[in-house]
Amino acid sequence: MADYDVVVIGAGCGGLSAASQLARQGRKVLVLEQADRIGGCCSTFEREGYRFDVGASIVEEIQPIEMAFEMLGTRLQDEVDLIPCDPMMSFILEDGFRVTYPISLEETEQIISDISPMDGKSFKEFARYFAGFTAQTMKGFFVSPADTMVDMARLLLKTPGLLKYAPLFSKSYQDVIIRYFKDEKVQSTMSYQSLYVGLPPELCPGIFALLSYSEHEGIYYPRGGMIKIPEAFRRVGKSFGMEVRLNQKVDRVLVRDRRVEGVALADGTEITAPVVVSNINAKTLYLNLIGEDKLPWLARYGIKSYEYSKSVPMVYLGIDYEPPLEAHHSVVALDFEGISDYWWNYVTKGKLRQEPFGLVCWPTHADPSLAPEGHHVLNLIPEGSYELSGTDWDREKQPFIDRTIEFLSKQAIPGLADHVKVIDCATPLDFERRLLLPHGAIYDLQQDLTSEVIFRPSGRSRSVKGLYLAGNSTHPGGGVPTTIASGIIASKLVDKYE
Amino acid sequence: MKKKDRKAPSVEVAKAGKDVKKKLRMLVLLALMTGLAFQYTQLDESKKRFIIHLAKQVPYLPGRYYV
Repeated sequence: MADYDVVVIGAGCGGLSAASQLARQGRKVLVLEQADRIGGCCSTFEREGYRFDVGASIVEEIQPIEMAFEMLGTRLQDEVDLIPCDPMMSFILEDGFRVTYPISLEETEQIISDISPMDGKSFKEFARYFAGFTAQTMKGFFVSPADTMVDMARLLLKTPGLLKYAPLFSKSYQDVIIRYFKDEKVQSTMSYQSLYVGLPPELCPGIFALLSYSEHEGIYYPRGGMIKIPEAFRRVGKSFGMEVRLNQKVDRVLVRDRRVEGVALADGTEITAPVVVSNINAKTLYLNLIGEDKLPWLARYGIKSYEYSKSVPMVYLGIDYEPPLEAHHSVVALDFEGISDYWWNYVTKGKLRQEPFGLVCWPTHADPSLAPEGHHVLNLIPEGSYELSGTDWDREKQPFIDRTIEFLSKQAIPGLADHVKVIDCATPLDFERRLLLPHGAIYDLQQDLTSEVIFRPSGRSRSVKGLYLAGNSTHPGGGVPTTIASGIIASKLVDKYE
Repeated sequence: MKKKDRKAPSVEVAKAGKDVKKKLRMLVLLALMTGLAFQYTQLDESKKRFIIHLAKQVPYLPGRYYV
């Protein structure tokens, strides 16, 4: 008899979402986490009285999270205190121009109209179009399996309205934005979001132009830090008997005759189970934990072909003043040309930009309890790729931190350099070492058209029976609500086939 | 004999018809490819990069479908 009904590898949001649903189904579930805390990228740590989020900084499109808790017999609102964040985002352009968009579409339309009356009108049309797209995707796309052509056909039959948005697949993100907005300043406020996917606007599929709209549907911050979301899943899962073990690194997935038999830990312990759910990077799972000799040749070829998603360095600052910012998220933004230049002359050549740009998160704007009274927390997420030419992140870490703080003090947050009390930093190399994310890839695999939906690793493995995937590596892709949705899908698949 | 005589030319005509069809198909295909190539040259650099970026990954799709 097996030790457990299900072993889940990785206590990130996807793993805990799947595990809690499976425990609710009455299965004996064990979650194994290599780190000393749960959550993976959606976690929080403390330094000298300041609480910092490891990676994820907000949640949006919360319907899949609400659905997950409803399926567990509770409500998201009862488990996590979500603070609505408004304004939605501030943009600081290279020439010093600043603009802040609120959640309200009407108010945003007015603000854009003040920059360009024509673009203000277009924003209304843009928002209406993508609101329709979001509504269609929420009808089932996020929580339905999308492993095969049959799954896709079912999905389209269920939501035929999605077909209306097919033209977005043949256009780039940049094409879509330029179609609606003509003013360069307005375009610059819509350009950065493509980098969430890990691609510059000219290479990013048009479908992701949705990201410039979606946050207007509401963004939220969990009181106490992002870790409150995985903690809620652990708490509810535990009430159904789910067990979570920390500091337990899985070394191998035990496979015999193309069927899982359990896992082997780094210390040699073997834990048997007829079902294994993996919440780790799919390339690591198939190539390292299972072994390519156990895969059919086509799957071997497929898994090796995936590129890793973007990686970012994060600088965590505890400061003793209120930063002169206007929103939970601010973007030090570039225009389309600037981002293309960054991509082709820095990312592809392994170079770091001397003047960093990217996201500034100000969590204490929403939740002051994360820092001592009168103090604040800032998480800086400047762009910077994993591979550096002629150097590495261990050598570049300190100069990068200094350069980022100095540049932001001049360009975006006056006085910052004089008020820093605590500094910590996670480079892409640190993410690789601490969270076992290969290449520091925060979304595991690149989120391109050619690695999405049926072309993303299947929720139910086609190569190994009893193996299921959740997390960033599988449909519907990277992000907190999406990985939670992947956990729902994995649990549905296990329920159907095991 | 009579039957054979009647059959021989019709086989040749059918064969010639097939050849013409084959050549026409080739011509249409060539015209289509030339048209697409011409259209591609008219695109701006950023659109070309988008297409090339996607096209480069097409060979991987069958493998990815089976992961």
